[in-house]
Formats: sequence, C-alpha cells, structure tokens
Amino acid sequence: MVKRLYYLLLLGLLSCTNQIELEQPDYETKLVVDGYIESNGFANVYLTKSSPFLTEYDSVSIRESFVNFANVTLICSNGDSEQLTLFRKNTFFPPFVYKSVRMKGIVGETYLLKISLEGKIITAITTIPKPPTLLGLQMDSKSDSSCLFKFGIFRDTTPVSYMFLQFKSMLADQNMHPAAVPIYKVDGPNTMLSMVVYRSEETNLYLAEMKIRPYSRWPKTLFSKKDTVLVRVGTVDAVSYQVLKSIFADQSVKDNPFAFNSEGIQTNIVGGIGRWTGIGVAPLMVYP
Amino acid sequence: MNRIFLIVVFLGASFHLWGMVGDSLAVRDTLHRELKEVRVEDESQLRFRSTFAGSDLLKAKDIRSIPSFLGEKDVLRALRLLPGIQSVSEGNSGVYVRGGSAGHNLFLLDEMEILNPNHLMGLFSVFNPLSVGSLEVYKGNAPVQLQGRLASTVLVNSAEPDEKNSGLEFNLGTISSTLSLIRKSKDGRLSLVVGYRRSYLEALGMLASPFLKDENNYFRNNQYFFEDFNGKIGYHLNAKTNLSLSWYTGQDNFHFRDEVLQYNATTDWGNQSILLKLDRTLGAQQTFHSSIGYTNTHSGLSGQMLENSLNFSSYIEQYQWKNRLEIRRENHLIQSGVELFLQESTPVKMSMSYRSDTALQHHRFSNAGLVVFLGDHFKSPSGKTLWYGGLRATANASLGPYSYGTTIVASDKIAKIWWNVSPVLSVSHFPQSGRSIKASFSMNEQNIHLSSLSSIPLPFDLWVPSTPRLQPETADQLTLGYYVSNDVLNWSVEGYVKQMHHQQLFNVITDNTFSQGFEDQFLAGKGFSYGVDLTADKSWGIYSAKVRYSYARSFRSFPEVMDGEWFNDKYDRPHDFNLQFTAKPNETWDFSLLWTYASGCNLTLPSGRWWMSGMIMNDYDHFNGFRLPAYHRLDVSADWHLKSRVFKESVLNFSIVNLYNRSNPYFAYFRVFMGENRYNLQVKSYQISLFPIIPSISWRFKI
Repeated sequence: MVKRLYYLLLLGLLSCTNQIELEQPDYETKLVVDGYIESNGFANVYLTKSSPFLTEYDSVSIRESFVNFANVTLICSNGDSEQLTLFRKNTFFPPFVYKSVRMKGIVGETYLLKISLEGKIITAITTIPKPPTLLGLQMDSKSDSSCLFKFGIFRDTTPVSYMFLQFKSMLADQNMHPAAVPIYKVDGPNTMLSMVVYRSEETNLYLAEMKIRPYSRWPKTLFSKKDTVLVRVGTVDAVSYQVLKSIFADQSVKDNPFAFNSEGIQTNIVGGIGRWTGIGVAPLMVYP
Repeated sequence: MNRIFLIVVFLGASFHLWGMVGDSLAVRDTLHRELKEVRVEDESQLRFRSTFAGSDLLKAKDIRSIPSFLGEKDVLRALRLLPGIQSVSEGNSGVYVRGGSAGHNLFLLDEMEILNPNHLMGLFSVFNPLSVGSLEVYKGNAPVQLQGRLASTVLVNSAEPDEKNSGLEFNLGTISSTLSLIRKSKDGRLSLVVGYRRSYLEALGMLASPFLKDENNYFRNNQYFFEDFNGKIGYHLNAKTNLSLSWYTGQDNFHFRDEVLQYNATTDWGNQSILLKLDRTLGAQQTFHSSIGYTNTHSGLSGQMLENSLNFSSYIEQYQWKNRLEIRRENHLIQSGVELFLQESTPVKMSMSYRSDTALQHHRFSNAGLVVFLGDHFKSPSGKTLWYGGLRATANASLGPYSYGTTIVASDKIAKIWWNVSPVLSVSHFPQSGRSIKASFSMNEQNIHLSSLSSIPLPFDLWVPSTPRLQPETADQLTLGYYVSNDVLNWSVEGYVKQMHHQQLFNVITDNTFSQGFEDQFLAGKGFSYGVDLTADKSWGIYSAKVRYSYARSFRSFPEVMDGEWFNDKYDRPHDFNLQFTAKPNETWDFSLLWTYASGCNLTLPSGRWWMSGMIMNDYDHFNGFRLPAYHRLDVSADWHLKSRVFKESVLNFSIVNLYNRSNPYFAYFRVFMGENRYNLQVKSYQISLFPIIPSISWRFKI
C-alpha cells in the first residue's frame, strides 16, 4: 500500500515531457551567403536559402535549400575581378561551392561580392586585415589522456584588432571550422595574448555519415592527446567582427536560460543574410 | 524535471559567468462607519462598494472554498482567481496583474513586506491558509499609503480572534502539514494568531526505502524541505492604545545530486520579517499609527558538476519606520504620513571555478528614502459619490560606496537621489441602488526592481534597488468600471490602460566584451498594457457560481531588443477564464469545481535557420514571437464534515487537480534530430509539463 501511495505521489510530483506542435510564425525565406576570402587564398562562397525553423529536412527537401544557379562575381579594390566557378564539394554542406580559381586574397584590399540570382542583385563588402603575429601553439597537459591548447599572439601597433579562430580535429574527422568561442576583440598595442581553443561540434558531420563522436561529454576546453589538431588564427575587419560576434553569441545563448538573444543576427550581406568575411590568416598551427 | 532544470541553471550560469502601509480594512470600515455606509460583506459587495476601481476582497471562507492542491488551500491560488490576475502560473512563482511583471506587486502580511511569497518553486504561497483572515488586493489604483508598486498591492491579514475562529487547528496534507493557533484572552486584552507549516517529503523517501533501491529513490537522493512560522500578538494596552507584534520566517531548501553526472547542488531561498506597531487614538476623531519593521529575502545556489563549481547568492534587507495620522471630519477621512526606509542589497554574489580558474562577482548597493503622503476620502453632500484624492512624494537616495567605470562615490556620500510625486484620483458614483460607476487614475512609482534571471521560472530572482544607472520604474494607470449588484446576479466590467516607463530587463552579457558594471546587464525600456475584466456571481439554492474572464494585452519595447520594436511581453496571455462552481447539498458535504483556461505565454525562439561553415545557425524575426499552447485544467474537490465529540470541526478533503490529465506547458524547447538517411534532419518542439492528474486527501480538524 505504501509503495502504491509512493508511486502515486511520484506521479504527481514528477514532470513529464511531451512533443507538441508550435505554430511557426510567418517566415520569409532569405538567401544565405556563407563566404570568405583568406589572405593568399581563394574565395569560397556557399549559397543556400534559409528555412522556417520548424520545417523538416529530408534528402529531397534539403536539396531545395541549395543554390547552384547564381552568377557570382568577385571584384577587388585594385580593379581585378573574376566570375566565380561552381564546384562540387562532398565533404561539406552544402555540397556546392563557388570559388575563385585565379584571384587570391591580398592583405589590405577590399573585396566586393556581387551575386545575381532570380533577377536580384545581392552584394557584400569585406576587407582583409593584416594577419596576427603568432607566438606558437602550446599544449597544456591536464591528465594522462587530455590536454588543452593555448596559442599566443603578439599585438603590434594596431590599436584594435579582431581575431577569428578556426580549428580542425582529425580524431573527430572534422573540417576546418569556427571554434566554440571564435571571435575576440583585442584592445591595446604591444601586448602578448594567450588564448584557449574551445572545441565546437560541426553539425554537417551528421549529414554525411554518422561517426563515432570521440568528444562526447568532454569539457569544451579539452582535447585528446591522441588527436591531431590544426588551428588557424586570423584577423577580420570591424564589420565582420560584429557580424560573426552576433552569430556566435547566439550559438552560446541558445541553450542558456540566463541569457537571450536580444539583437537577432547581424549581417553584412545586402539583400540576404549570412557573412562575407575577409581574413588575414597566420600560418597554420598543427599539434603535434 | 527538477534535475533537468537545475542542470540547465548550472550550465547556464557556468557558461556565462565569464563573459505604506495602513490597515485598509480598518480605513474602509472607518470610512463606511463614518459615512454611515453598509459594511461590506463579501467579495462582490466590496467590488461594488469600494472607492477604487480594481479592488477585491477575499475572506477565509473564499480561500477555503477552492479545491486543494496536494492537500493545501493556497492563498495565492485564491488570489489568482480574481479578475485581472492571471489564473495560471504552474511552477512559476510570479503573480501577473494587469500587464505588470512579477516584481510589480507589493505583498504585505500584517503590514510586513514579503518579497518572495512562494514555497516549493511557486506551488504554495508562504501565507498560512489556516491563520489568514482576509486578503485584499488593489490592482494598480490604491490609496497613497498603499502605493509603492506598479501593478498591485496585496494585503494579507491574519484572522481577528473571536469566539468563532478561536482554537488550535491542524491540516494534515499530502506533502506538508499546517497548524494555527488563534486565541483571545478572557479580558480581551491579549490576542494571539500563530501559524506553522512544514513539509515532509524526506519522510516519503524513508517510507519508500524498503521498496526501492537508493539510486531509484528520488526523495532519498533529492531532499526538499520547506517550513514557515508566522504570527501576530496584539495587546490592548488601554482604551486608547493597542500594540502588536507580527513576524514571519520561512525557508525552502532543495538538495539534488546525481552520481552519474557527478552533479551536486543545493538551492535555498526564504524570507524573514518582523514588525512592531502602535495604534493610538488621539481624541474622538484622530488616530495615530506607527510601526517599525524589518524584512529580508535571500536566495542561493551552490553546486558542483564535474570540474565546475558555482556559488551564487542574492540578498536584500530593508528597515522601515512608518507613521500615519488619520483625521475624521464630517464626510472626510484624511490620512497623512511620513515613512523612512533603508535598504541594503547584494543582488549578486557569485563565484565560479573551473579547475584552477576562478571568476568572482560581488555587487552591493545601499539605499535610503523618505516618503510623505496625504490622502482624503470624502463623500459628496448627496451621498451618492465617493471621492479620493492623494499625493505621495518619494525621495530615494542611492548611497555610497558606489562605483561605475571611473566614477567612484565614497561611503559617506550620496551617489544619486531620485525624486518623484505620485498623484492618485478616484471617484465612485452610485446613481441608483445596486449600481455603481468608478474611475481611478494613478501615477505609480517603484524603487526596487525584481529581475527574473531566466527564460524559465527559477526559484531565485534578483531584487535590485534603484541605482544611479537604474532609474525607478513608473506606470500611469486609468481604470474604469461598471458594477451591478442585485438579488438575481452580481456582475461587473472593468477596463484599464496602463503605460510603463523604465522597465528593467536583465540579460547576462552575451559576448566576451567587458561591461563597466553590474547595471550594464540591465536593459531599460517601456511597456503598455490594456484589458477588460468581466465578472459574474450567481447563487441559487444550494449552488453558487463565479465566472471571471479577462481579455488582456501587454507589450514591451527596449531599444536594444530587435531595434526597439514592440513585442508581446512573455506573460501576455490575451484570454484568461475561470469558472468556480460550488454546491452545499447538506451540512455534511461541500463540493467545488474549478475550470481554468488561459492563453499560452510567449517565448523567443528562432524563426528560421541557415547554414554556416557546416553549422546550423539561427535567424530571428521577432522577440517573444512564439506562443505556447493554451493552458486549461479542471480541479474538483469535496469536503466531508465529520461529526465529532472530540473536535470542534473535523473535515476530510478529497481533491483532484487536473482531472482530465491535461499536459499543460511549463517550458518549451527544441531538439534537432538526425535521421538514418543522409540529409534527414528534423527540428521537433517539446514541452515540459509539471502536473498530470493529482489526487490528494487532507484532514483538517480543530480542537
């Protein structure tokens, strides 16, 4: 009897979880530009269309979000220009990328991206700042099997610069992608800074083949000592910093009941959403 | 559920650290006595008679007529059934009145301010249902001595001891038990009201031990405990002087541990209040009231998970000295007074460590203030119109030490003084018997702000005083009402509009740039609300029914939120309806039924999604753009009055909350699912519901 009463009470006190239908507010699909050009690298532009949040993707409907019929032109402030070429890229989502095959990013130059699609012109501008001066990648052992990575940069005479951090874990079979805390504003000249690399998941891996997730339930700061980690540090301009900051700040607050995204997502794409980022990249750092 | 949300809390905090009083019943009774009006008898009569539009009264019998919840008749549950007050807030401690926020209500228990009026994460209020005699609420328009909050003033009064209610009374509930002692000395000079309540969830854990493994025994691993102790001692010193001492102390404590997640956390909160009051008659037509009081509230969370540890606490204490003089003249009741207060608050004291890294936050503020008020109730010569006019002037000083950026104020200096004058006007006209028309206008101010931390309800909120960078909140409210009272039906309709200024919204810094001070985490904005409240009460034979419906809208705008666009307040719930039906077929049985319906509240979720560097990103069009499903629930209750030679009264109560087992939304979230096939991706929305069908039995008896 006591046991029955207990279960009855437990039933009353414990919560339950149900799947529910929420009404999706009206949402207008937007053109998404995910583009970047690195110093001494080719331009890469991924074009997709955004979706209402509550829609479902399958192998058919997700293809409707690809955009592979646009005319994309890259124009440099030094007068050079090139129409980007569409390539297939199976390792990354979306599986199409517009790339430059001749023009490479030059530090100090400004790049205009012009996209012609369905009778509309979408534009974006970015500049490639001077890359940071690296002091090296340092591994701090935290246990027999785990470590964290710090990298040092030396700040020169620039009063304010904006760091953009990407990494790639070979153990997790990742592509180069932004770290969990990828964007930093650095004030004050002539300082040496030490920063920690925070791991982040790469959603598109799910879309390829399900892999074993070696970092499941690991703290975001820790890497396996068995891993091979590539870290790329770059600088971006002030506009790109604001755009990237809003995007990644949203990522960090989305599961946090203490905070909310009050500002939405910023963009430097005129006529769409997303980012067009010029990055002055320092040489790739590899561990071990 | 508790486990889920505590983890969410802890992770959330971990991740982001870096980065007036007067005896208004007496006033009204005095006024009505002086004006030779009929003394009010019940809720609908008060609504009809009161000078102020938007005022209501609940008596002990009204509170005891609602269905029990886990064996308790809860005072705030009864309050929430009144028009203009949101009737549902499952698992949420807030009371939402006419578009106001949870912190816009002033709760006074025997004139002591109670800053956090909830136990068990909002499931029970701190007010002992056995010792409470009546509850009054003014919804935004109140006499000047009762101002101090933007949305409402709630007066909870202990029972006045008399022959009928004297005795020792117990209520044995499902998870807690309550007792009260109400006594008056034979010579009538000494009166006593004492209440005590304690939960015994831990005993349930012990009871279940023989049948469950420890790791499966929820109440063994997670200890929840609450208790409260309140009382009032009155002493009739002489024919002209009364003294009273009131107190309240209450505490909640929840300890949670999970061996698998290596998670260990304790959260606690509570209030302590004490008030000493002197009432003295000065001649035939003047009375003087003076009180000195102290109140505090605190909340905290400490926890450890893996290599993280977090200690968070919030605390505020307040000293008050209040003086009020009442002067009665023909057709007038003039009330004037002076009040002084001192507040010491530590809204946030937090330390978080991860391995060898430690981050600290400690913010402390001191405020002192002076309130002067003057108000006059008066009756027109025809006797058909009651008027009220009053002014309340407030000076609130933010004291040093204070610092912000390069501004440093020493401890012996004043950092900032906020001045305010709040007028109140009200008129109540009785054109013919059984009908009244009312209009009330108030400009309210509040110098202390409740900053809810989260997008989900948490037991701990931050009380923050006005500081040099946090301006006092203000609101202007106009209420109009039409009331009909006759033998067939009592009904009323009230409409209101309210605009609010300097509203506060707390947001943990969302990027890695440094702020200059604690106040930078607040956004200041404006609000606007309007609505219509309808009531109808009908009694016939052994039956009675009460119907309440509110159409209410509430909006906010903050320059930093979506470029200042107006958005629905989180608790903007347009429709709120409740039907209460009671039947008393004989002296042995009472039956009651309560059905509530309310629109879902709002939440901010992404409206679109897009891809960047192989990651899913969010797109936002509106703040609070999603609305949760509607809330509705049917509760039934039966009282069986047992005949007894031992007890003065013995009642068994059988209640079923949520009779048809509706899964009502408490919190919603999304999960992204990856399918078996490549490119299969689903976003599904889920809600967490707290209470399925809950039957309970309780036994109330009086010795």
